[in-house]
Amino acid sequence: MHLTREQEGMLAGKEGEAVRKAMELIVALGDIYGAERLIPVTSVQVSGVSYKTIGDAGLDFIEDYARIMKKEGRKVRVKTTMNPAGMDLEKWERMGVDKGFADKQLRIFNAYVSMGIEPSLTCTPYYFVNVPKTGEHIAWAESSAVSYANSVIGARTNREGGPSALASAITGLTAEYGLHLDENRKADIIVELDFEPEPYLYAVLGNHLGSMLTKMGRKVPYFRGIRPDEDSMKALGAAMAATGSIALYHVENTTPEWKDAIDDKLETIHIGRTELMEHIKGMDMGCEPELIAIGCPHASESELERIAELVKGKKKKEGKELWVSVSRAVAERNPEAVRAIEDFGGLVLRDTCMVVSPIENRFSSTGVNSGKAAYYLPKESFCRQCVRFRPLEELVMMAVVQ
Amino acid sequence: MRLFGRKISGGRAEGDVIIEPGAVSFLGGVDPKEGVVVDSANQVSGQSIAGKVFAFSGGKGSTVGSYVIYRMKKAGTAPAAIINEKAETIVATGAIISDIPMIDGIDISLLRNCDRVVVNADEGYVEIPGVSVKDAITVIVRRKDRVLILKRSQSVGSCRGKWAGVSGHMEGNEAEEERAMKEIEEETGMKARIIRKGEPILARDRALIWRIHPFLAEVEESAEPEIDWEHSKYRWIAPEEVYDYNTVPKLDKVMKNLGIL
Repeated sequence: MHLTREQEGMLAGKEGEAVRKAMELIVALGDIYGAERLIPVTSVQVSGVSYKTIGDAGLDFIEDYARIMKKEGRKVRVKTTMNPAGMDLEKWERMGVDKGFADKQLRIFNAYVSMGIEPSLTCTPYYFVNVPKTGEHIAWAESSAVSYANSVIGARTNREGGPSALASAITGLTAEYGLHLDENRKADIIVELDFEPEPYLYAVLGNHLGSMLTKMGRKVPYFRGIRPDEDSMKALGAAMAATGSIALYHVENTTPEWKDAIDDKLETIHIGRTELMEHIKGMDMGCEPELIAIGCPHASESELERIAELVKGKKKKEGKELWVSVSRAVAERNPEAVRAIEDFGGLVLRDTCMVVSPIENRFSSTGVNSGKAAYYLPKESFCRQCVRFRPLEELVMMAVVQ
Repeated sequence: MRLFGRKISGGRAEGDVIIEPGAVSFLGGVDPKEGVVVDSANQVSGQSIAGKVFAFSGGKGSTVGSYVIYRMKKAGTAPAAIINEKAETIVATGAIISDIPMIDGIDISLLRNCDRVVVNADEGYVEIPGVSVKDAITVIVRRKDRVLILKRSQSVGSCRGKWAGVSGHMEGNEAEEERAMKEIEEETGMKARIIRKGEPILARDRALIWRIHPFLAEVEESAEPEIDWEHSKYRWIAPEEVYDYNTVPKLDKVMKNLGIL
């Protein structure tokens, strides 16, 4: 790989240990994936924030790194936001999180903040807090945000891990390979639907296609025959990124790069309603949910408002919990919707979600409308939930006294 | 003997090799407190990798595995060095953030458990002291669409009873092609014409690493071998049938290298 003189110096330790280590990581990953040079990034989203996900091993690493950066007087060089934590930093007790967990979670959070990372704590930084422009090179972790940034916004990022995203934040650089290059952003399969799915079916479509396309060795699907809105695209991309390794997709007449997405004649697969209804059977385990959890990825303003309308002035059923996960930014901009849900008895959680918080300590069944949550929640080593998968309205109404 | 690969994470370390032919997940697959592999899918399950030179095909599983490697390093249970056939992000990241020397691009079938090796990641090689290299040739003799394999007799020095191509080691300063022609003559008595030479392939044989120079030769349709004491049987097979035979190491690789498999 070709490095500039300045980059060589960074790699040789001229700017200290924190920068040296970050450069070593970026260069090694670039070498592995055949990059020829490093390129600047305009923003970073780091993952590896929830204590539940990264455990003591991750806590060790982040605190040590923060210490080195502090000693060397370093902060992140570009706009950097962070993924959700394992709890709402204020309402963790109401969530049923224990103090031991909360202490360690706060240590991780404080270490990241000390590096100069914004306390955004969301998987949807693209709502208000970290909004890249079409064509910008960025280095994001969090697979659902990567998918949204690439596909819906048309920014360019690979699927970074926690440490590599952090390395990009510290150096302002990433290696130029994968989705940073035009040739890898072309579609490699056409997915045609012969009906317009209801919004909730986008999560099913994504859950189904992610694993299917990855098994077929396909990476960039091109959708034809559908006109999803932004919320539906968020659900689609998050689910495909969870069950497979899809980090970019195109939608005809909709996403920013669709016109340049097809070069050659591509194989077309057809997806019908029956196939999706059949697939739901594998996602919906049919339990009566104790917890209704919306907001994976974090709810948008319109999703938050819809839930507020459904519960406004209604009474919550005993024994049912309603959690709506949003970013701080979305909550702050919609105080009335937040109040309506909280007056109902629901919990509007900032900073976290049902996947990365320790819900298994308190619940055994959860109702979701997310194709990503439906994939992670049943996992024995992670959340151990019996999952109910239903459309948003139906789920919310399960918690309402009729 | 030095095997050259590619630097992933810098540094230099010495240790005993422990080999896992499969992929390793550090999250859930390795106990960081003890430095023991616990994934039952791994051949080295139950064994410690602490302080060893851990050679495995590559990483898999959760990206949290990178942090697990870091934790092992702090707890003193990490491998002294890591060798991969093909590095991927999780293990590469773990090695770099933990300052563990790591190289990839190494054929781990050339290593043996308990080889005492030096991994010099800065220079991108692993050195196996006490192991030397010898040159040899292997000729795949083709008759129309079939190739000749020979079963090594009980009188030969190595790989008795295994199926092989025409083979022999180099003596003195002779050219590889010259040796190949001599072996065809001695081992089969046939008149053959060499039509292709492949890239050298390395194969481990106790304290030796053979550098095998592959050749493809052709004989007339009517040709039939007369085998000598070195072999007990021969067969003409379709190249893909090589997987049905108990062969000397890497005979399939030789065929692939020659473009006939």
